[in-house]
Amino acid sequence: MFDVTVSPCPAIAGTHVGSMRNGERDDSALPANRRVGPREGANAVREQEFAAFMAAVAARRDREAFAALFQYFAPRVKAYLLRGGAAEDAAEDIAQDVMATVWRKAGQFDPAKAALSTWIFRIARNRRIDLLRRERRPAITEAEDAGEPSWIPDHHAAIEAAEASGLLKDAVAGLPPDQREVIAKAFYEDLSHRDVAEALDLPLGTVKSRIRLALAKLNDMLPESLR
Amino acid sequence: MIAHHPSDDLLMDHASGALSEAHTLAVACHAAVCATCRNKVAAFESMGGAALEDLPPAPLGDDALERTLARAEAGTADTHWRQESAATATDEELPYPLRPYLNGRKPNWRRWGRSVATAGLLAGRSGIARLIRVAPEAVMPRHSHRGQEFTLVLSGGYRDGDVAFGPGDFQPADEAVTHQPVADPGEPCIVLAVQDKPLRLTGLGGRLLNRIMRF
Repeated sequence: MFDVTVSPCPAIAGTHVGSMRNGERDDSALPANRRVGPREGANAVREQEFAAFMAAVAARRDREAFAALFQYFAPRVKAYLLRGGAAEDAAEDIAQDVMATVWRKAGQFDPAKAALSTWIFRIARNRRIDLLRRERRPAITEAEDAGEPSWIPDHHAAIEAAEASGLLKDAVAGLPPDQREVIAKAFYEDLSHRDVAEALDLPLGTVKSRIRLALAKLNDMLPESLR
Repeated sequence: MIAHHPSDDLLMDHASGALSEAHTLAVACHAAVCATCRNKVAAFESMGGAALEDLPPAPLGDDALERTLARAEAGTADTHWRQESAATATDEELPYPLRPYLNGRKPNWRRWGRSVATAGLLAGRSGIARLIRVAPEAVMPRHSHRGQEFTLVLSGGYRDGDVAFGPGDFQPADEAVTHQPVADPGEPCIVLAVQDKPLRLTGLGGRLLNRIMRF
């Protein structure tokens, strides 16, 4: 997916989950709830790549690293804005603005605290709120209020966060369709539960219980250590 | 020990940015003092991130990357109003999401009789938010039930029938037990009270706005 070679983030380089044996990953030494399947493993690897790209942008304004991130995230941010009701031109403009913020605030991204997609989602969500309200907006997460530059993340925490993000992504994909439908509408289209109920022609109670079930299921899908 | 929290679906609406400004303020102030809900919001934001990655990409213009970098380096990005983490501490030690609404000053209390004082924070299309300070053992005022109302205890406490509310506790108006909650003895009870202001706007901007104001 990425045809750019970037040296790995120093905090993560030289570490690995489990150990290598004959070129194959050997997870047998890990407790059962820490072993990950190949798909989840791939997501964790990708999160580490993202962290490395972000570190490169933060440390030396690496345009190639940013281009790789832009190629992946910008069209998804635009899709999110379009789904939320923005016109084509506005979606293009705001997506560029969001990615410009990613460039400027790259030093504040901490892979130990959240996946990059979560961090970018927050920026996109906040920009959308600002656009819709054109007024001041309360900080939704504490992270927004902190202007501190990032510190070198603890690599265990970074790997856990990466795994959690990858696992969550797979878990969302694994939800039953009726639950996914409700979550997708709430997140893609920024609808309240009342609006989701109306749009899907469901009782409000049904919408609420599907979200509750989805949250419980997602929690179950995460290994013990990541709940 | 906080016993009353926003519901999971309210936290999810908060994380997805669907709440009005007034409601966002109340939930944010609760989350500022409640780690459990803060973690839930973060979990919902992770779901938002996962959902973002799931979306079929919408291509941008050919020059989008160049324009983005130009924009970033010109410093014209991120021009939305920025939170001020006002260093000025107020006597009441209010949760940080409230501080920008006070502009670095103490709340402008306005008295209503002997027992109640209010300080307005927000009034407009985005809803109404105010601080309410009630004397010990006095009856808490309840506002009209137009639009969804939330009460968040900042200091002191009150009882609503048999149910006790203390600092950090969050109560939606539609979960009220009685119409006459009473402030606890001993110290004034200070709450943040917010409500949506129902307003129906027409036009495309209005339709978008109506969506996030939850009709």
